[in-house]
Amino acid sequence: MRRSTLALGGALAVAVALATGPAAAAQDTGTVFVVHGVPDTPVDVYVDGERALDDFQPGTTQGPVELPAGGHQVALFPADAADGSGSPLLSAEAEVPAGGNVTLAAHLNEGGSPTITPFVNDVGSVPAGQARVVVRHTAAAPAVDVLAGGDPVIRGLSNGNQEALEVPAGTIPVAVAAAGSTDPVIGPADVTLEEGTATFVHAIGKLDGGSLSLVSFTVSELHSSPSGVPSGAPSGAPSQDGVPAWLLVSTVAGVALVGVSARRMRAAARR
Amino acid sequence: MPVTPTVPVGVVAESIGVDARVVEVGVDEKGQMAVPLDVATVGWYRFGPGPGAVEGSAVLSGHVDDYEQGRGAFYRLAELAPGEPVLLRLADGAALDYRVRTVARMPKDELPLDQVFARDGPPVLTLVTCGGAFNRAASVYTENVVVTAEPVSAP
Repeated sequence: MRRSTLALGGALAVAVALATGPAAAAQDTGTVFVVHGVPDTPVDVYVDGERALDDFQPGTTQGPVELPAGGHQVALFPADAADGSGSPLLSAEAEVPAGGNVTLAAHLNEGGSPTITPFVNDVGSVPAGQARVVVRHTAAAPAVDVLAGGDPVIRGLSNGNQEALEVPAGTIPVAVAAAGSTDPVIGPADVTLEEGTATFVHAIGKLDGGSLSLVSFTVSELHSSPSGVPSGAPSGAPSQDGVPAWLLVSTVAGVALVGVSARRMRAAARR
Repeated sequence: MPVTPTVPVGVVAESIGVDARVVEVGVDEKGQMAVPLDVATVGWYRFGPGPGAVEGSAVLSGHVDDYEQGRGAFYRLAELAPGEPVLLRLADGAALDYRVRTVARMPKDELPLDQVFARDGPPVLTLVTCGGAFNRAASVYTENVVVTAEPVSAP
């Protein structure tokens, strides 16, 4: 699996290199995305006391980065703070599982207070022709329904929770409405889901004041192969010619003749 | 998916009398590659690499035959021989030349799906149809015929 090509903050990359060293084995690290969903509050992000992200803007996302597996102290300071000393706006102890893939989302809880929620990212393979979309409620708003083409596909999603769907790849009109309603509070907007990808969508902002919006990132190369190639006889029976004789090398002539007459009966019976 | 210059619209294999239209296909309800119902038309797996991609397998599949429609575009696919030419016509009017590398038949459950549908590795064109005996109970052929062809560099 290859991860998406989201731009990675230079400062974060440096911090991670310092933290892990070049020889860290993959199984000793976990993959981390970060989402900033607290409105009007640019921040600097400190991981284990080191500044990892400078001037991280609300409504944006960063990642993926590899962090050493285990617990990390994550602290958010105002973007104009001189350093990581004093009291942070927000802090959390984040557990990064070895070989895992997580999102750390800074966002508002239902009541409007800033918080940090960790989410596990489902980056398992996606069936052929499909895309995964994971919706996360990280906004100051009551429970919501997610509508696709006007119909609810996720019901009663509340703050701090996520729900995943696998859908045929393509472009679908998506909206978010208060639970039990079809009156959009976000969207509808066309969302394009590429085959073999997982898109993680975060509803952020505040319902009061109308600052709700979406921030998302996509992990690609999760595709699977089709399960077969059914390229014979769409009507359910082969042609009267049958396949060329050399394709039936193991079949004796008499059996082939019986086979042809049986196929004719079957085809006749279908009509 | 937007139409790109790598979308194939036709396939020609003169040595077996193939000159067929190609359409984009995805997957059917069982998660198998969709194959056009019209047996004279060949499907290109649009979720995989396109012809001309720098890596991976561009997959075309056509029905071998049908009771109601007769012989399919790929009826004689297994008669292709290594070294013979295959040409793809592209949506932008260009064409890509290939040369057959391998011709194989195998039971359907032995079709190397991850190889046929590879999205990395050397660029290859993979042509697939059905063959072997017809299983009347299941209404399917028992085998797949798989032809691989390598791109021929422009002169």
